[in-house]
Amino acid sequence: MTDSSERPRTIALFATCLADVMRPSVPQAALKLLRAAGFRVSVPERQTCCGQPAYNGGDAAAARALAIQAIKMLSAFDAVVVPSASCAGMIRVHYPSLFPEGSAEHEAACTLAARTFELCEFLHRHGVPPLAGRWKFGPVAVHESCALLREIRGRTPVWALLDQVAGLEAVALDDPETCCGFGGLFSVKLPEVSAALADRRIETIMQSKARILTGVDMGCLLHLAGRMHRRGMEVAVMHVAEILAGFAPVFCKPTRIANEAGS
Amino acid sequence: MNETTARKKADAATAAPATFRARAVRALTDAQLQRALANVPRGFIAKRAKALARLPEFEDLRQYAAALKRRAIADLDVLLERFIRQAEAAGCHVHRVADAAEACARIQALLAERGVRWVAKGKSMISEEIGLNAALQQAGMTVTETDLGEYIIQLRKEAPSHIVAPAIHLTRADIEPAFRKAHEQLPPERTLSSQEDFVSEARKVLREVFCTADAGITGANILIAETGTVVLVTNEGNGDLCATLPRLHIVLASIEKVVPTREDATALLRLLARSATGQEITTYTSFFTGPKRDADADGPEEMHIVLLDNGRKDVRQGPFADILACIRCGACLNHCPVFQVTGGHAYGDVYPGPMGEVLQPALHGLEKMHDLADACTMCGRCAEVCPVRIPLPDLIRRWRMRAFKAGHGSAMQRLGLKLWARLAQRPRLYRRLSRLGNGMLRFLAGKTHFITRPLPGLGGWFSVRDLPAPDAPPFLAQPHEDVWPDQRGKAPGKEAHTSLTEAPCTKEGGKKARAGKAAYETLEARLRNHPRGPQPERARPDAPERLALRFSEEAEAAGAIVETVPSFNTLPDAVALALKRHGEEGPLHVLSSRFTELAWDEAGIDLDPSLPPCAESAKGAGLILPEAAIAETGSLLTLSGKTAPPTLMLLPRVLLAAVPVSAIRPGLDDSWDLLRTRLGPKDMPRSVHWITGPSRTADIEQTLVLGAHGPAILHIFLIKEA
Repeated sequence: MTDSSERPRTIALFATCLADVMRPSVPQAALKLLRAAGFRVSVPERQTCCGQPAYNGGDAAAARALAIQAIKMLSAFDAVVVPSASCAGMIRVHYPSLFPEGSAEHEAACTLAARTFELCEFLHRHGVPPLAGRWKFGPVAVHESCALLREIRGRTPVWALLDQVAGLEAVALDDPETCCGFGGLFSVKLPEVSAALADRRIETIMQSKARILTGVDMGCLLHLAGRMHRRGMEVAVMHVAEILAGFAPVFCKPTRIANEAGS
Repeated sequence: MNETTARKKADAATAAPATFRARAVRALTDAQLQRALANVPRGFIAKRAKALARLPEFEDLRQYAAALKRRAIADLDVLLERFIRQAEAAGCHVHRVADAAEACARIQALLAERGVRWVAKGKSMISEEIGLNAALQQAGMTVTETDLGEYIIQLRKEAPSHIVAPAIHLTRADIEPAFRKAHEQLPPERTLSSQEDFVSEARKVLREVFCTADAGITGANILIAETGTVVLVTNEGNGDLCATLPRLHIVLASIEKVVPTREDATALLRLLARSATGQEITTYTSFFTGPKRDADADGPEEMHIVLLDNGRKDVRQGPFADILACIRCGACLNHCPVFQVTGGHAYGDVYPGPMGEVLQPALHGLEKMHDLADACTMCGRCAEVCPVRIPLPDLIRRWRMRAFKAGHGSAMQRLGLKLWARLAQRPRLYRRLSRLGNGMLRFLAGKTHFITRPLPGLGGWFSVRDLPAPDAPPFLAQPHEDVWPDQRGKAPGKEAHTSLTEAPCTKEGGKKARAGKAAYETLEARLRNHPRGPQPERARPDAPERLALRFSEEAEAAGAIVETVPSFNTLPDAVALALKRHGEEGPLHVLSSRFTELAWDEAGIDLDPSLPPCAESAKGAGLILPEAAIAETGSLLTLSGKTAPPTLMLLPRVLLAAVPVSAIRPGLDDSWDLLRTRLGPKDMPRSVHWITGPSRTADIEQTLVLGAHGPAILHIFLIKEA
């Protein structure tokens, strides 16, 4: 039991299933940042999914089972760091609500919730500096995801960390509070509505003149990247962790991220 | 209008596609609708944000109102009993009805027994919920909606698409043909282009309706148990005209609207308009208690209140009870990303947006409504803006859980979700398959790094977007030396060694179930003490001249003209100038005896001691003596009777009001103390009004037009020496 503001001795990196499979450079970047700051980081081998798709899809039993799995796996650590606001929000805000108050599971969920952090939030709290050298890829538009704004309430750390990258101009998007239309299963259940919302976000990205889009939720970013690619637009999409860790964007169409550059 | 007004709701419903998705697609491809919806963000959202910025106490009020409404729902039975007793004591007839059919039948019988042929209606979502118009029309009655937005959609035979702004899905180009068709006397050469054109045309036509209708039916925003009072808020003044001019006033309200005291109503009212339209308060906030009294110059002979359950008592017992706290402000609709692009009709019934997603299945059953719960990205914005803190996404998710359990929705998606969840509980298999999947994606993408051809089972994703492919094996499959050596051996995750009872939850816990036994006693105490909600800084007591300044600022912000005159004796000259300025020649309608001795002749003003002619909508001037003025909001407090009868406040084009500076009160709640002192602890006149600025509407393209049904000009004279 450590005070959350104290430096935790053991940290679990929860990669998140989406980033693990679809964008492995994101947990890679997170690990690199945490290790460079001297933290002892474990990557629990049995981690899979936090259960958010089941939870928001209405499968309460599966959500509970996956929550218990994660609670058992992660409770031994002083801190759990998650490079995604929505997955961190799932653990922090929603796990406790899955179990009846007064139950052992509920208390364990609460304990874990208090030790779970979105990556940028954690880095900012412990003064972990970016590893990136001078940024030379132009302005970066910041997509503030709904979970970042309303569940983690962690927009300040994201801006503060990006601000520490020399030469990086982080650009705020118009109408930042409106959802980009990803919404997990929403994106496949109501694709037309999802795309209409993506297009509104994309319009603000185009207005920003930035050619790189960043954020802390891979779901939103893959959704926006996929939509922009379908519409023939060239915008590089990067997770904030990738920027902070010194990875570089690649602009060749189609958009992709190169492996670590400059190291 | 007659048959043209028939709302063929049933027909419309059968014409609409059966699923939310299909209706949403139709909405997305409707260019005209998309143009109309584009007005929402710069209208409602920006105005609400501005109103909140002006009220630092908003969050306190929100907390207070959230607790108040939940308490009222818990105490509903006692509150209703008290409300009914008080309303009956004030001369109302109260009818409790179980469902839509009974409500329609009862109202129809009430009207038929009294030989009513023509009904003027104020906006009422409950009336939409029960399909009242269709029922009355079937019985041969003419029903005319008088709220501009409702009137427009009635002409177009549509259902409302928004609970506050029913015609928000329309532009002027949509409305013009409907007006031309229905208004036979409208010459073809008359232009209908600006919003003002439409409003003045509707004002003229609907004025006749108010004057001719035998009955007025309105909704209710709040019911007050303490006094048996019905609270009605409008900006146009149409609700007040429906409630005042016809001989019969019927109020249609659902049971969960009841709160204990007048102060409780104030607390909700401070949130309602700000959340809905970004106004500090609506132009007309009216409190109706019983029919016309002997001393009243106007008002209905009979007042009936129809209290509708329609499934709400059951909702109250279940896990969706929080939705009964809803005050119908529409903020969740305005801020919902899905609503913003689909509009309200996509939701398929009366209540759209997040509150509709929760309420509709609760009222009509999940079978017909289960896909509504999917119309949500879980972005959480609705819960953030809800003035009574209803956890809308949590409730929507709860419906999803019920739908999943009941087997609703796509079998394929359910299976996919189940398989995924199973897999995620078998980490080794999961690891192998995710590695395989990742490899396949990389193979398929080749050097392009995007997959553009649909993958089986992912048609939804690929129908509108490509899939960025991974550029490396899964992170967890990579042999990362990143695990600290000493941690590797320890493998903290492998055993379930964690104590599951480590520490108590310090996060926000759930509420303890409230003991129901004390309901009656606490209500008694509340009625006795009528505690005030959090008071805005702007409602604080102050020196008279300071209050006058605050009042003037607020009233002017609401669109009124405020002028200070030294004394009552100098009023006639000031009035003469004002009438000239506003282009009115007189006569000036004045009923208050306080004014009659003044030297009007010398000022060249012709006084008329009667109410203005009803049908005249384009001119006319009246002078009233409000009971008080409220600095907090720049409102005038008026009571029915002789000094400021509602008809006199509503019919003239120019309304003049004279208020002594000494009659300015700091806050809205001071109205109630004043009335308690003057009339007794529980007594209310037939009607009490807070009038804030001139009549207005923004029902067409969210563009503000003054003079909807009531005065276009409100000119207030502050009298220094009373």
